[in-house]
Amino acid sequence: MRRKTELEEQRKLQMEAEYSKKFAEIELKAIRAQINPHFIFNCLNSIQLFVMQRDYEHAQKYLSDFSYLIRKTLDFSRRNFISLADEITYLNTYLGLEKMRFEQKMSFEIVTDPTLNTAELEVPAMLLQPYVENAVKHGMNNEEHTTGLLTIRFTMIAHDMLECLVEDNGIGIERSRQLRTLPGHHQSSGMEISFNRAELLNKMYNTGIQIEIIDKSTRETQESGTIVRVLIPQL
Amino acid sequence: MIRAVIIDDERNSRDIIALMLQRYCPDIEAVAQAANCREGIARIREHQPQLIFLDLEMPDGTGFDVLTGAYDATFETVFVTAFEKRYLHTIRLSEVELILKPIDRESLQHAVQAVRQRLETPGKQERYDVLLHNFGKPARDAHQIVVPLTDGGEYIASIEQIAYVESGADGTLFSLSNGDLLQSRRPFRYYTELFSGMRFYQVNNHQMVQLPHIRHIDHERLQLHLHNQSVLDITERRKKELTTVWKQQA
Repeated sequence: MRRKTELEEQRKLQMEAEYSKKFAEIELKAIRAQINPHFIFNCLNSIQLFVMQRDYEHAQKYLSDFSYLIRKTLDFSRRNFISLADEITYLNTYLGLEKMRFEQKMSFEIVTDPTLNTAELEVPAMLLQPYVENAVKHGMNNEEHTTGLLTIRFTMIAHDMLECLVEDNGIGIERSRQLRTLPGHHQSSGMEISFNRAELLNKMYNTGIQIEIIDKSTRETQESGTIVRVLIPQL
Repeated sequence: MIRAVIIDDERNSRDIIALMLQRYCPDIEAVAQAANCREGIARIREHQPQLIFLDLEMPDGTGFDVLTGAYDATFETVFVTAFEKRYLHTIRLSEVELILKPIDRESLQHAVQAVRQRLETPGKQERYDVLLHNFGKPARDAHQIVVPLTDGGEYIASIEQIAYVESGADGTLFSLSNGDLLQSRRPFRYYTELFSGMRFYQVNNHQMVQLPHIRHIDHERLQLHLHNQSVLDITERRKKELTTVWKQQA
């Protein structure tokens, strides 16, 4: 008798574990890679300008970059992990389009440690994009600089640990948080989505991804700005 | 000539508005541009335009902040936006002109034509009062709506006052809580979309009721009795769902 209840207990626990995994998967699907619709329509708007100005070469270039980005977004949204090489190309194209929109108001740089095997390393699909998007926005929102400068760095800090840094020269997360609590300013949902996704991935795959947001003013430097540090263990 | 100021944080966006105006609305002269709210307010004060083209989301605030800072009832506004779902509703309720990016020629000309007519017949600018009223209120039920009437006039109602709306021959009929009726020029479809996500429920294919106005549901006769004495029919299929949502909000 007792043995039977024990077995039942065990089976029940197993079922519960199954369910919670299924639930996490569904949740993950819902918050997977997305691109800000605001960005999409503004890109199309900029491409329209080239057409109207009869600058067909630029119109053609940005139209194909834009198509690449949409195609990749659709593709990545079906996957949990992609290669670092794909991520770098994606971010490069994304930032190129942002630069088209804002011209001299922003510049960017992606620095990859030359010893990295970018085709082999894996990162969660589009986990970084919302942080990069935020950095673009904040970098340009600092009256002390005319140009928003954005740097993304990929480095191995241990034999199985990839470090991604997204750095801007904006006013820093602390000050922009204060501004955002004023009425009329919205909270950044993209960053929240990324954070939740990382947590879920950690739960499901034991990935151990860590995300840290550093305001440069808390370091002993003269610069302002924000650094997002994402650690992705390579399994 | 109508003097216009273009306020948008993206240069491409300002350029395209200027270029399209030049080509398709030659009576509008873009006299100045601004890249943020602060500059926008300064250019408006400096140039005293009759029309502004206004972006919604800018680095130092929103288009509403520009209006709060500079609106003096002498100029008209056309909002230009890529995708700001949460603001679109507020703007649509106020009947202030709105065009979406990428801008197409017809929408631009349509918006400019509406503005031209308003500039020719100066009067009270209630739509902007409604806009700023709604912008300051997070609760949608506290919002006001500008109803463009079939006789050419306008009526300002608070959303709470609306008992139900009904599809009419050349627009939509509004029934208010005090029993008054209004004839809007807008089609019924426009309002079913505008009121979705609020406390409205479409009871049949030509009527949409606001839930707190229901006094009683007659399950046998498939009828709704409203506080303002109106009686509406409800389809069998929708009755069950309505009963649930009505109880939930009460």
